[in-house]
Amino acid sequence: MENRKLRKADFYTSIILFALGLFMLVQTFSIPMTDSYAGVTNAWYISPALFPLFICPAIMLLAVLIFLRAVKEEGFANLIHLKTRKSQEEVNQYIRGFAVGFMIISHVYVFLPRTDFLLSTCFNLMIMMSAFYLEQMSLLIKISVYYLLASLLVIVFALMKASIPMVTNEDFVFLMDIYLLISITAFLLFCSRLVTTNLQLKRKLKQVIILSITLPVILCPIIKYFFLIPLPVEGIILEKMDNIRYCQQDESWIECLNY
Amino acid sequence: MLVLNEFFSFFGYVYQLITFQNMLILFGSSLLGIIFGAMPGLTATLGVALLTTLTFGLETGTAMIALLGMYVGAVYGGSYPSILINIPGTAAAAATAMEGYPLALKGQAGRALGITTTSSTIGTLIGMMFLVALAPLITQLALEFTSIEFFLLALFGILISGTLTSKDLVFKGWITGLIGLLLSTVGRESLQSYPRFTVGLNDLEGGIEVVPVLIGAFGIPQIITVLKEKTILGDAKKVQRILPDFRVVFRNFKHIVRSALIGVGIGSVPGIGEDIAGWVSYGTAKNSSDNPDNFGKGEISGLISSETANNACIGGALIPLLTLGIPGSPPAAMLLGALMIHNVNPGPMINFDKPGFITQMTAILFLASIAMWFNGIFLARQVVKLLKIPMELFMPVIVILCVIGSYALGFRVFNLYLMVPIGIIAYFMKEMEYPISPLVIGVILGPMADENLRRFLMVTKGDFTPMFTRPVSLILLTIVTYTILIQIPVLKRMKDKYVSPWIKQVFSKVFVLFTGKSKIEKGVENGHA
Repeated sequence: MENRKLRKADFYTSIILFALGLFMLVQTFSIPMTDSYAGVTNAWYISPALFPLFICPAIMLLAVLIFLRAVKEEGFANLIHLKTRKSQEEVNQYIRGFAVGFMIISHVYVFLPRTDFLLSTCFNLMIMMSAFYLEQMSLLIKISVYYLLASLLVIVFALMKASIPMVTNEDFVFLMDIYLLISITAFLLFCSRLVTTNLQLKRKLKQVIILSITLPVILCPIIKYFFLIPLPVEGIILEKMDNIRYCQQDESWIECLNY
Repeated sequence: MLVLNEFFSFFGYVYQLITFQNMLILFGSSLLGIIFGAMPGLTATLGVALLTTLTFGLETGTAMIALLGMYVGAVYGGSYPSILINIPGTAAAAATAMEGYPLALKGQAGRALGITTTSSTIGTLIGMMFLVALAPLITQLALEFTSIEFFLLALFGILISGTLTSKDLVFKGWITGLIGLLLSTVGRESLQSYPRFTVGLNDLEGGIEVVPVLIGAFGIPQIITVLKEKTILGDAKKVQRILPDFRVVFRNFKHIVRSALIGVGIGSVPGIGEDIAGWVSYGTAKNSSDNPDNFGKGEISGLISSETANNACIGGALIPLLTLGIPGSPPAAMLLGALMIHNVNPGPMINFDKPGFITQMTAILFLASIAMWFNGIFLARQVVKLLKIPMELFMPVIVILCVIGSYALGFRVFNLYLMVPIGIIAYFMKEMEYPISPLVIGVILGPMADENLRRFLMVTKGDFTPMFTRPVSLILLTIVTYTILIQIPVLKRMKDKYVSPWIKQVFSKVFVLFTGKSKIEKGVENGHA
């Protein structure tokens, strides 16, 4: 980052850091200093507040020093009014960075706790790989919007579930998995329509689809059965995988799947 | 005698560790490390972090084989894209690109890779020798430390890491270290079990775990940066047969020894990584060379210096990690987290809690360097093919691995909820040139600093004077105070005016002692009057 932009960023971050230090300091004051806690009478020097009382003012002091440095180098007025023109490439970088952040947040906070791990991983890989590997800004925006809508629908379903007490967690996960399967299928149709005219993009999309499906299918059993790590949500697919894994020898595949 | 005993038991451990299963894990993790290092955007720290969670179920020794294999392999693997496409695979190999790529342009990529492989192996081995020799002495010395020394040591670790990793203002490094310390105070503290800053969340009562912080702080910013900047990798230069070229390596023996010493020295400073070791060593090689003009044009000594130092740094980083519980580099910080998961608490008591553990670690480091050499010489050409995989396909897979890595420790989805905001904040901090290593060092050393400060005050009943009467604490306090005060402009100017010329004089005398000629004479010889 160029120096002027860096100082402008310092100017604002120092204010945020000062506020953080102050907020934590106020919180620290609520920790007992000399009162008794859990039957033990405190002295100031063994209080749990002692260490944060050293750290918070130090953060505030350093934030002030960064602030003063920014003001000294650029001048207060300049920092307030400094406007920087962004090139098209910079704007594109912002959009790409924002899209990555959004896709990770959405995967972790929306899909992962509510849907089958294998399905959510597959969907996330499909979205991220196609958004960035197809290398077209218009496609990236369209795919991001698609992911946003899919995430919003999950949130709406989760809110609706809270208002209907009859729906159990298992039922909800099952419904969400069905929804995710539909979303994945719709996404594939949506993407294949977007790239119909371009042969190179078609080839890339094919690679994305193969990778995003095969990777979770290989990875999940390794984690679950080899490393013995139970996955966050085991829904429609992972349950079937369990059925096959623990199937008796004398039973047919159909019987195993229908446990 | 103590050191000799260590050397004998070292060979015993090497013999014990050679089993089919261990060798399979060692060569596999070393190869995985080389791949991680070779892929631009993936780092040794991230590799060790992701592998940590998968080694959770393994026996401690086997887990360490996997992790050290990965660590050594990843630091070395960074040299592949440096040499072949002029883009360092890891920050540690940035200096390698300066000489490696010109060599590749001359059609000597295979030779450069061979020399890199051998000098990296020698660097790791020299680092290991320092570890085996110094660790027992330091642990014995550290047994004399009381709580105040540990508090000051933790403080020094954060300050020095903040000072040396800041590219912009030193305050930025310190403030991230302090934020790390603040994060470490979240949860029930150890002396009275009082819940601090838990904001009523039960999940925070146990505190913030190190692994999600590490994965978040090192993984997420990397993913965002790579996908955002859309780095287009050039075509890799053709690799011929990779030959170790021992003659060239031995001809540069003095560079190897000097670079290894620099690597070990820098590695043993808390929080300073292999990248700084590589650059310092490269810079020293250039400054002390008879032909500095050849640097940047494929000078072998530059290549050897950078690669020897960054791998020697590994042994150096393990010295404070194992003896004091203070990680010497970011991957070593992750290794500390892994050791804690396996119920090993590094520090002065390690020889009592786990007798022979340090020697076992040096034996693993020895085997890891050998595995790295074999993988490097025989499989490098296959690894190079992986450089053709587009990052846009690779990075989403890393997202999934980060998710699994954070979750697998304790099977807590809450770890993921922590990893993401920490990662995003770390990304913005990195963009604004706030270094990330001090943050992680702060999270790791926070409990040590907090507990020891209060223990000390409990013993002295709130009296601070023993801090000034104990020699070790006084030395540490002086260093900590100096590190802080020297940032004040007036004192900085005074240092530049009075102290720095004196230090320069001492260094130039040492330089004359070693080379037999002054720098000015050298400049005249090279035509730089």
